[in-house]
Amino acid sequence: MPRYDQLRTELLALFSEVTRAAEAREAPETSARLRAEEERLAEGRLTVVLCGEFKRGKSTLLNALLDQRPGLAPTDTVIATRLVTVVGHGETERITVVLAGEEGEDPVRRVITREEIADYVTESGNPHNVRRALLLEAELPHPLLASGVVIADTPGTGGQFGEHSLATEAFLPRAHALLVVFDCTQPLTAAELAFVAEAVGVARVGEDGEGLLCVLTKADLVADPGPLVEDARAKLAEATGLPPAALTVLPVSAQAKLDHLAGGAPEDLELSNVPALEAALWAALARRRATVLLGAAVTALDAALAALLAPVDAALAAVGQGREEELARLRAQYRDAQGRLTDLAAADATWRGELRADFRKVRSDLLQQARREHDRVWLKAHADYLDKEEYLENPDALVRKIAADTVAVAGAVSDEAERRAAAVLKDFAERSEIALALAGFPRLPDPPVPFLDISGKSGTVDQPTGRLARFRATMAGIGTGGAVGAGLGGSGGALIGTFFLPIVGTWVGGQLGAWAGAAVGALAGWRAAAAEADVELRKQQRRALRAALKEELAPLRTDQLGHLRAGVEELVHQLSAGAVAELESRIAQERESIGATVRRLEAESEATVEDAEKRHAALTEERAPLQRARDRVADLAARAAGLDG
Amino acid sequence: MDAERVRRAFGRADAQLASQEAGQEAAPGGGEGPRAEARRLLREIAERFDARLRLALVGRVSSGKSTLANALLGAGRAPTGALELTFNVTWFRHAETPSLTLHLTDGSPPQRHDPAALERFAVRAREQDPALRELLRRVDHLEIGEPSPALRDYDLADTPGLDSVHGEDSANALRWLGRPPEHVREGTVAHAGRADALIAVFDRGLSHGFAELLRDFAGAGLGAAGPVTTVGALTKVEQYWHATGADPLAEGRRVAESLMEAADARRLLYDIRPVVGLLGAAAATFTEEEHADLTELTKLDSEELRAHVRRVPFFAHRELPGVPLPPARRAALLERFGAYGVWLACELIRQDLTDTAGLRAELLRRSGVEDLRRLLLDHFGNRASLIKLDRAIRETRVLADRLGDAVAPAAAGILRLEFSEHAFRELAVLRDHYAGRLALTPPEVRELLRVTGESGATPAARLGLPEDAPPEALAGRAREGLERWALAAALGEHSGPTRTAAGVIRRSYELLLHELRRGAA
Repeated sequence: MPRYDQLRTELLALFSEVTRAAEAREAPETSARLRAEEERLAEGRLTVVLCGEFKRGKSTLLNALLDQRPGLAPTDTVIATRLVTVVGHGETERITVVLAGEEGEDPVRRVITREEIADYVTESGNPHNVRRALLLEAELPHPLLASGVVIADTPGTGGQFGEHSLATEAFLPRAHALLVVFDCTQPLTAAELAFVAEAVGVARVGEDGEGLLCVLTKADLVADPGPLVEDARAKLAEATGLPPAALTVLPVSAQAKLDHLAGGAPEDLELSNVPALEAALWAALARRRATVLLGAAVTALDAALAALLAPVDAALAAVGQGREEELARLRAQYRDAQGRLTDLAAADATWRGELRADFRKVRSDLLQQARREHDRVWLKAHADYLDKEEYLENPDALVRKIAADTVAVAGAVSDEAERRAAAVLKDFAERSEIALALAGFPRLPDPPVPFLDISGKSGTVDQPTGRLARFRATMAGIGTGGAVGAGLGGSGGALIGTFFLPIVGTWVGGQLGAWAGAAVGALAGWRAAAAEADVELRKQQRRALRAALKEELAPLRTDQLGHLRAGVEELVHQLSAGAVAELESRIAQERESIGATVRRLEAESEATVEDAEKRHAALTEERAPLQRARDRVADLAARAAGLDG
Repeated sequence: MDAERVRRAFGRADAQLASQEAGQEAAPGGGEGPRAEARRLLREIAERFDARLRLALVGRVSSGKSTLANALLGAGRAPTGALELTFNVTWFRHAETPSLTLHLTDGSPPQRHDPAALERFAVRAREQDPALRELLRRVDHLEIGEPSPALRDYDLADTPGLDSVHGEDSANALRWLGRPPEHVREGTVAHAGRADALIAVFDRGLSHGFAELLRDFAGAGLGAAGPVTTVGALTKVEQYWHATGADPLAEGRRVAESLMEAADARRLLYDIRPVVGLLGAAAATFTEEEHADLTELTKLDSEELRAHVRRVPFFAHRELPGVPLPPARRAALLERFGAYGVWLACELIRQDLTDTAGLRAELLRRSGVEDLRRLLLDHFGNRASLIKLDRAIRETRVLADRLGDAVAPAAAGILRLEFSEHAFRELAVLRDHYAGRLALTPPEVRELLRVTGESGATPAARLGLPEDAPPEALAGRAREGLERWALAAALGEHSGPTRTAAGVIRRSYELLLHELRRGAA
């Protein structure tokens, strides 16, 4: 099976080749589009979220996956990970801790050494998070990460409430693959199964669970992992409603992989089963996300090559025709096309209005979806959560839960927005007069609408360092994106802001902390009172408390809905502007191509019949590498489509 | 403490109630009147006071309680896995020959079974035999008689678990039995509530989960919970050997120490001790054949064996060139000893510890079980009467509150014991100490613990002298203590609870001196 990272490497190489060809032919729009698309592919992130109950060996597994020995994440027997740790690629190792700033200030980023990690990440080094750490980021020069994989190691979800769970929930909505860690030596608990069932819903890992990977760690400690795996598969299938055969359940031993790294024994690598996990991870990422990234890349490459080939083909067809009137007819035909394109490019072209109408429809659908799903969150809160004593006694946990559920709605809506925008763009190109041969490839997803602010497509030439600088800037962008409350509520926003496109990230994550941190101070007294009252009194109190909570929470609901609406408006605005820019750019590319064609035809009309053969040979020679490149694109597209096997 | 006085107090209460009862008409409806009920319950309380100390293992499902029970008893009969839930609770009691008794909930007489029947129950439970289900549904608890020396000092209960949320396997077992999931917790709390002292079992050394479990524990309403009556056991510490290669007990001690730093830990637990339960259980019961197989494995050197045994699935199933024993025999060893146990046993054999008895003793020591046993004896065994009396008084108070005026005068004589028995004041001081309310220096704390019986109940043990110390030395030491604490009281060195404590310690020395004089006379 082809691997994403291989295809990605081949595509990136092809991008430089085709960009050189475009530059040589003085096709600035095509070059710019190619560079932007290359950058999107290079920066495209595949997000893996590592989660599971506490003390299941998540951090050890991360170390084993990334060949970290000594470990990156501390895996002490006593202390436990309490911060989300995000690992991405960097040329050299660089570890940054993000600390909450002073009241109203942006978070502070501090570069630290590996040895200092424990001082921030663990309960013993940083009791009750006195250092107000929000997030740990590590850039590592590891091949697994080089192709854009970002792994988030979340704290355990052991407690039903609390900061740890919130941090995990904040992450789930945008995960491309969910790696859930169980333990061969511990019975699968109902709580774990419930967590997976919920996570599958929030993370939307695909209707057939394609993005869900379950591993049973510590497989080196039991004589027969096989029956445990099958048992876990059956239970997970029951809990998630997914067919057992569709679930990936792997026994692995992180310890054995670390032993292998230390001693080199091949048995340890075999026992670890980590290579199989890597393969499964790639397959899951491919199915979930990689095809989107690769699809956009092959589509752009193919369009660029089509634009570069058209003038050569036209010239080839015309060469040696010798008949002035035939050439004149061809030139006129292309001039016509040029005229049409000029009209299309005009500010008052009718397609702009049509596209706006399409996006108005998207907007109203999304607003409806947001309202509907948000209603459902509150329905559940009223009908279900408010019946639970734990939540009544702990209103903060209730607020956090509602905030996390709402963030999941924002995630779902933004996913839907991107999907719809891509579809609008594709349909529009197909049915409108802009027949731009950009239908994409069968079996690959519609190329997404690029966001303007990171597409770099405004014609400016990026410095080679720009990409890395922007990666850092995106990571640093959490200050503006994340609402920074005390504690992990803020990091919920911060970490999402770190990972994803700034707009979506800010919208989805930024508010989580603010909501979760919203003090329900007036209700705090209830807790103490409830604990001391007798049963009958408590019943009455619970009723009163429920009513009081509903009332107290009403403004939060309004606030959330307002935020969701504003988010949809902003997102649709951005996407629609992005779509316009994309179509304008496609028109410009087409004009560029036709302009080149017309120039070539003019040159042909001035050429002599005598050296037609020579010109033909030269054109054939010019055409060959472009056609070869195009064939390779087709081949890569087929292989990319094959990723989802 | 004077057990005879306690018995006399109960006797007097019974006589008083009996005479009141005689002068009164039968209860309406012919049922048991409050006095008759009080007499019956007080007799039960008195019987429990005279019975052995009752110790219960409490913790989450699958935290290694049953394996630890086996290790503590040096026997291998505690039902483990899903089967342990089916019996609700297993009580181990001392018996000259092994026995097996089912106590039923419907009032029918206990059923005695052949001790080997447990194995057959397990098989039938796996096959979901409906006849067995009918029987199991009626079981309140299982009693196993065992000629174990440890059971001379206490009865031991193995409870199924404190969990309110269950692992799937437990849930299946419960569904089969038609028991609601909360039944397990309820049964555990009910039985642990009848115990005099508790062993809190933890299998994961993590402050987060630990704090939760502690809360769970504190919230379960177990009357006995508290440092005087609860010790902790950290089980399955062999996992630390797998992770670090270091001595798992040493690592376990480190983890236990950090756990004790957690909030509330000292309010609930005396101490936490690490144990390799599986190894402890195997140490007492391994066979000559297993011993021979272990010896065979010593043909590999230490590091080779470590590398192989750590790869458990391979060691259990693969033909490995140069590794002795067929895979099935290796698998059997792993199941009994665990990977660490196999490796350690071979280490010891290689160090010339070849006789079976010596190997057993050393494995028991290295499993941490010996240390835990000693702690149980020191902390509970030596104070057994006091712990039991404390419990008897608590139960009497509940009874008196419930039955009211009819019983109160008779119960008063028992409740007064709390004030007349000096040992109770000692207990109160100990509680203050564990709650951190006393300002004593470390040597003073050691003295407090010693004089209240931590290292033994004899005068010599309480004075920190050898058992064969001459009477004059004992009396001299007691007088010394008395004078020191009297001086401290006179100088007003302490205040608040510490002052009370100093007074109690002084009185303890006084009583010791009195006891020594009486002995001499």
